[in-house]
Amino acid sequence: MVGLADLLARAKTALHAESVAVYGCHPSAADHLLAVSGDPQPDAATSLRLPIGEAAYLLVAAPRLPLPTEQISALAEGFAAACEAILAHERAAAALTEAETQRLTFTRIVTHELRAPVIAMQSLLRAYLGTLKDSTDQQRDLLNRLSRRAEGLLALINDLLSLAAARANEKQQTGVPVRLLPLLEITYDHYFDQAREKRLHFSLHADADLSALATESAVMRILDNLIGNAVKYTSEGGSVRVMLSANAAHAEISVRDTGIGIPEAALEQLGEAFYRAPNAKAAGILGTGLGLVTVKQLVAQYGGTLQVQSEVGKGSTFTVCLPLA
Amino acid sequence: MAKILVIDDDPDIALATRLILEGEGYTVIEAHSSQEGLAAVRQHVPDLIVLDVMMETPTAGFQTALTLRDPAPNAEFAAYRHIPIILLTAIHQTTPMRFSPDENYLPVDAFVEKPIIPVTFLRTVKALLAEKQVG
Repeated sequence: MVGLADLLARAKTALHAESVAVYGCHPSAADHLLAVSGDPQPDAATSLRLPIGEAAYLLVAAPRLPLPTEQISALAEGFAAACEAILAHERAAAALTEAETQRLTFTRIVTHELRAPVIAMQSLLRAYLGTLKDSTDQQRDLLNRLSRRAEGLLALINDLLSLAAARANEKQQTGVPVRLLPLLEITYDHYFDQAREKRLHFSLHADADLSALATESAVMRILDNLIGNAVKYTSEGGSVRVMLSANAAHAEISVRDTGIGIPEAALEQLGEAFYRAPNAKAAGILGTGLGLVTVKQLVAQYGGTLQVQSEVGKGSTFTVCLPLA
Repeated sequence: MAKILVIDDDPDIALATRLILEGEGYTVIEAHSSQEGLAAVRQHVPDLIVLDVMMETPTAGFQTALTLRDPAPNAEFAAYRHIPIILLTAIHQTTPMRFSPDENYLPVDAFVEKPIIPVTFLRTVKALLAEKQVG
């Protein structure tokens, strides 16, 4: 698309004018047109007014020489086309903004509406389990199973929404500088109680605070998945070590656990939607097979890498590298 | 025993929270909107407030916390500023906002994620009441 500033510069030359300006535009384009015209108020005495299109646009010029009619017509058509193009562009941009706003509102409503009943159900079940005094083992077992299924459903809703958010913009993005240490600390604190309940050696090590090019929400999702998985798949008394260090032009976050590990054959499929390693399923550990898909997606979006090293029965190390800010 | 105000617009969550707290012997008052909650603060002067985030608006709980902790000397709720607040959130994973307790950002004392895990929740309640020296 030819920019209006360019058209105005050409008009200046063609009209032998010292200045040109456009008035009487469509209201939504007027400010933009006047802003680029460079001279919104040419001398009225020397102005040449050119009606363009359906009287919606008006080129005002101060020519030094008389101009042939066909030249004026050609200029008028050029301006009409440029104005239409700008308006069409603005309309398209407004429609996109509106669609994005609607999508975000929809996601927020769905998030709340889908989760709220499951959260309420789970809360009531847990509260009820806590108040049960004279119950049979079978009754308690049934309630625990219900609670566990609700927990699985909630995890699935959370992961699906996370993945949807991560996929909303698949193109690689530059990101903004994000301080990693505070986010690591928040996630570490978040899993601290769970780790303590499992008597894990749970530690966070950082050489220094580093900033990576990403977004805070993307980093939070990545950390939440990696650290959450490590705590989840490591049995009592094991260890989970989270490290932050600089590696050339990258910030390197690694999460090393002494958990159940991933079979070599399963490593390749890791990151496929809904795929779960057979030993994870067999261990009866709750999971959706969507967490690592989200991590892969987000890491790729910000030009980073994800590496996995694992040995069954010994543990896994997940390493994420993100470009340093 | 301490008196705890639970502000949550979901009656089932409010009931679940009440059952967990009453099971430990606490007295529980329920409110189902920010407005009801603020009125209940005045009326009952609780020892602790458990506050939901998303109520009549997605950030109603934040607004309520900010109202209660308004640092202005002549603030409407200056007399209740000392009451500890636990914020119930269900948005840890999907929000771009950070919900770590930060005095400058959001004046609350602790965050507990929904669905509540009774043991963790009660530990937080006890710790905050102990700080305030209410049994």
